[in-house]
Amino acid sequence: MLSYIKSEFYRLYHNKGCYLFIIICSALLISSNIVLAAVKATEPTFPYANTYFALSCFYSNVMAVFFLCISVSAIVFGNEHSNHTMKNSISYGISRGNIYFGKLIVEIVYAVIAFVIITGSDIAAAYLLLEDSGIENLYLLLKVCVVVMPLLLCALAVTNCFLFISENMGTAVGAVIGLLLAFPIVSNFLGMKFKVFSEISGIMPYNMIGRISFDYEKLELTLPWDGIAGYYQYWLIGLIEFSVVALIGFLVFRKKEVK
Amino acid sequence: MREVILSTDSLTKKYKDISAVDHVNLEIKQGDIYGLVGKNGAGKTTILRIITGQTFATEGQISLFGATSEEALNKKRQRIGAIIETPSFYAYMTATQNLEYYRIQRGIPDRTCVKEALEEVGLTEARNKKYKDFSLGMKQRLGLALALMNRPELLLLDEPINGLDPFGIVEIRNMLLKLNREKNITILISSHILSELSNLVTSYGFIEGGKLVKQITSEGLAKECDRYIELRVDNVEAMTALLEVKLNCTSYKVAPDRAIHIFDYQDQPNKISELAVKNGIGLLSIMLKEINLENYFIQLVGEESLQKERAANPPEDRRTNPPEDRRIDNA
Repeated sequence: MLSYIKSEFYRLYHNKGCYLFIIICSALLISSNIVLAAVKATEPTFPYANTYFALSCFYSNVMAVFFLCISVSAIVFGNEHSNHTMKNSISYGISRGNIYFGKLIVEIVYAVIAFVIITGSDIAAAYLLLEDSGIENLYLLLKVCVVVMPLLLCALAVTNCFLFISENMGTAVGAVIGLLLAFPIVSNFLGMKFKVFSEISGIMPYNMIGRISFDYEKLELTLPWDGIAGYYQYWLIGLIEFSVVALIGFLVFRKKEVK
Repeated sequence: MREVILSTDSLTKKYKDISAVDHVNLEIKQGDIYGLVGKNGAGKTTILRIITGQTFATEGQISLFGATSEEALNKKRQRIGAIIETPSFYAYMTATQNLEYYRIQRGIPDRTCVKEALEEVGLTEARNKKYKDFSLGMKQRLGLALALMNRPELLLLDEPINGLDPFGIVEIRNMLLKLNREKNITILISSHILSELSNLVTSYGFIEGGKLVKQITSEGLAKECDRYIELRVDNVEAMTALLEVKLNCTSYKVAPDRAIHIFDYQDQPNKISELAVKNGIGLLSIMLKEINLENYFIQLVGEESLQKERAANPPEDRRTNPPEDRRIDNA
């Protein structure tokens, strides 16, 4: 599997899309800080040109990162079905397991690198251009990152699963959005009437992210479960869902024809 | 005795109720250049896809270098090189980068193999060109370079000269012959263009409707591709009866298009024409012909199709040597 992972990194190194994704996301976040700084320069009473506002914009919109994971998986997957490139690996006897889990590992590593760069550039731009509101804002952002990490892994696993199962990228992305977005919303509605759906909706990654709330005065985050147990619950549920989805995807792909 | 390196035992692949491959028993020995011949959709590619693990057999099994289990087969697949259907690579990468990607993936330590493979297929000058800018012929060559990169013992080539110009065809054919003779690489090559195989293969497997209709060596085929008299008459049944009784000729067969192919009397065709005329049979044409590979295949596939038709619906008047023949003669 190591050789497969190495080869995937070699391919990503030569793929402009990987760089573009990081550059565009970073540029958008940096530009938002530039705008805040520019407004402050023209209007001295402007109250939002500080790290408190800039970083809170990031962590209160962490759902966007959750959906960006779909793009990350799609970039790394690299149109294997429409390019018909996977057959070259299979023909050489590289097992479906190595291909499936190799891709997933590369997606996770790339996602971590990409989001560290994107978040890092946002933080750096905020601290360089805006008024410093204290280190507590940064701590809160890091806490949010720790809490949502397994849920982001789950989003990657779901996308990876459908990209391998479905030969059509559009169908795969549609199915991913259905499972990650539509199903939790529908479960929420059904949960008002049926308790079982209420339970299910509570462990859907989308809803778990949605249920993170913030005390902006104390600069603390609140989870549905109190204290440190809340962190453990998020990680436990996230990792179980990640494992189940990854395994289901592999079991289906193991029997799938590769063209 | 040469080792059998690839064999299939009753290999079957069904898509719902349709058999794409139907109980195929192939046997390829070390050093063979085996030509898998069949029309488009006959099942050639499906067989190759099963061998390379891209799809799975519904029934039967394959044995590759003696391995039969899926795990063992995957290991043995590292000893093969394959081009299945059209070669496929990453469009945004150059020829060198594409091969380097697969070199890393396959764990081949020798970095020079990429350069050597490109040289072997004549793509050295295009090595830094992106795959998306390649012509069809160049794509085929790059596919061949990938197949050769791991120095395989068995090459599986699915229509490898599609898109090549005549010079390219000769070049690739010579290269395959060289690989076979100098490096003892066994080759399984599929094609629907018979002429491209005639100067290359040592054994043929003819496939039609998923079934392996016939396996024959190139020597055996040369014997079967013989000269014959093609006779067209208005009463085939009566004429065949007359041939047997009056001329004691049994070496003939009736082709699907109702022409009688007679393998005797090639130096006395007048005897056959006289026999027809004397017995009141309308003689439409008589000529000396030679079976080439194409005709042989068409005849073989035609017979197979006819047999299928007969099995489904056996009409009396379609039999080649019906009992009525003798009745006419006796009369």
